[in-house]
Amino acid sequence: MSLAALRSELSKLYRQRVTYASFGVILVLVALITWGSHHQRERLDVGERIGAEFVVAGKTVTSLFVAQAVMDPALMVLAPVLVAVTAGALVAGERQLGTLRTLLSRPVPRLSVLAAKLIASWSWAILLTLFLGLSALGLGYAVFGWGDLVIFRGGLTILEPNTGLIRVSEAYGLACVSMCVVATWGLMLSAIFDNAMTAAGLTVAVFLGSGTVAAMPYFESIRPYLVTTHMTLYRDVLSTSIDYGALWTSAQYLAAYTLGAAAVAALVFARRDVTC
Amino acid sequence: MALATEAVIETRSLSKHYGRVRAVDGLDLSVPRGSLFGFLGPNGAGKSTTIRMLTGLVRPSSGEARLLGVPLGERLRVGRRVGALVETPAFYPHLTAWQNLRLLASLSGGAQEEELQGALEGVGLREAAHRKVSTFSHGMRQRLGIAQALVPRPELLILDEPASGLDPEGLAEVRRMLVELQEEGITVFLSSHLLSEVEQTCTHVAVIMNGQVIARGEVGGMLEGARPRTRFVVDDPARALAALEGVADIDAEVIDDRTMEAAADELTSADINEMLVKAGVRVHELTPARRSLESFYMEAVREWQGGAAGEGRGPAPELDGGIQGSKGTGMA
Repeated sequence: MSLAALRSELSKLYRQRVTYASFGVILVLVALITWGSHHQRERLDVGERIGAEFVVAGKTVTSLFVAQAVMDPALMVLAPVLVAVTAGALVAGERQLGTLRTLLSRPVPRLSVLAAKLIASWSWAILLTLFLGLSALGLGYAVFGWGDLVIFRGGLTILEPNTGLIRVSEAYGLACVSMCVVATWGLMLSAIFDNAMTAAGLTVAVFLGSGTVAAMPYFESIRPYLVTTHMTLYRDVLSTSIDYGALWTSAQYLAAYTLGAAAVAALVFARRDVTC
Repeated sequence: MALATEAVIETRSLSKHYGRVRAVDGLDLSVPRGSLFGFLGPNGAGKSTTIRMLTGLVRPSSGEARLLGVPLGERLRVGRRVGALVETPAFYPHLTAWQNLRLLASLSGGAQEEELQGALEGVGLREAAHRKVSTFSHGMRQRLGIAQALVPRPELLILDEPASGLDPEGLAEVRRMLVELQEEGITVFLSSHLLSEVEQTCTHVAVIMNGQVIARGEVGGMLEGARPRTRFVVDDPARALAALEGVADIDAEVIDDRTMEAAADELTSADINEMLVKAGVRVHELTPARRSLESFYMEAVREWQGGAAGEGRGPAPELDGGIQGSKGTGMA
């Protein structure tokens, strides 16, 4: 991949004002969840959940709590949609605009252009995910302050602030990987279809469809192979002990989904005639 | 197969098929170095598909082509030496003209700031360099399209309808620029259906119909080598045509309800006039008719259509509005 191609892709992506609108959408979601946590904090009280068997002192809703609480709602639907819209436009959008013609008539290998687009889409997916985490931490800190990370998932997990911060960081790191899978699929469908919205819509449909299928009891046998089953690998680090075996399995599945989509995208992009 | 190396573009049996549609069908073309080459043809004749193949946007179905002596498959080796404008120029609307130009030049190995400035100045966009392309008119985008093809400075410039959407002033500027580029040693290959523009600027021309080259040559030779023609304004052109029928040396045709044109090698216009008068045709006006590229083009198309009908080939694509008027006169 040529550096010039990468620079040009990054420049095109990050010079667009519309790119930054996604940050606004993320911020609204984080604000809503923070506001909800603030008003529902009595219900979130650990005492209510575990009865009178424990005595809990201190805050249970903290910035770390908000940072992990926003992950599921944001990463299951909103972030994939935002990533898919951007990745879906990378090839199909340029084809619609006519700039793909201008771009590919330059002496730059097509695979180099595609690799640059792939990295640009990953950079966007990572940036968006990190923005989600940082804005949740920031807003959470402003409203609730610093403190332990309390997680209610299959029981109660309480991590002291430093360990909690490390775990939340690891979870966001893994969420970045999940969003990169979405970006790669968006790019693949963008290489196949002429319309950016079709590519984005289909990308979202693939991931929502996979999530829906996974939720149905009669598809239990295929659930371990579905992409969405492994996209939630970030949850694995938000517990007292980490199951590294499960993490490794999920990472392998995500890598396979990513490489498969990237290979199809390369095959299509390298061979397809630019006729519009 | 060995192809000549003095040609900057050379194609041999180059074809592109989309299913059963033959967009380009066995194209043989040779563009000499240093020429300003006009690639003529009606809409749908295969001009843009040929250019798309030459610029690597479309993969040929069969045949061979060389750019600057290099096979098309290795186009990237000489890519920096080739500038191209393919159809309507498209740019990133959220970037300025300068940013677009720099971005595209970087993909060709980069260009000096002076080169970028020179290219924008050359097409009259210096003042608009830092304006977003989204605010540009069609003509300005067309000019920017030409500018981007000039950075970095190419040896071969491939332009697809560069005059499209330009006002008369812009047309004249582009015409002047193309001639200057050719004088600087740049080979210019341009597709167009503006025959007068091609006639005024090009040194060589090829006519493409249904994906095949049907005529080619040097513009000067085509215009000079023609038989002398005379235009007669008469009261009854049909009668005038009948009067000249059977005279072996004369090739006559009715232009409209008042005009007839006749070409002859041996007979002079005075001889033809005498024949007409003797046949009772009143001649009001008699002027030498200059052979134009348009008449050459129409003759080539007519001959091809005759041949196509004889060979059972499909009809030629419909000519566009700009040429259709001439077709009426030429085909009468």
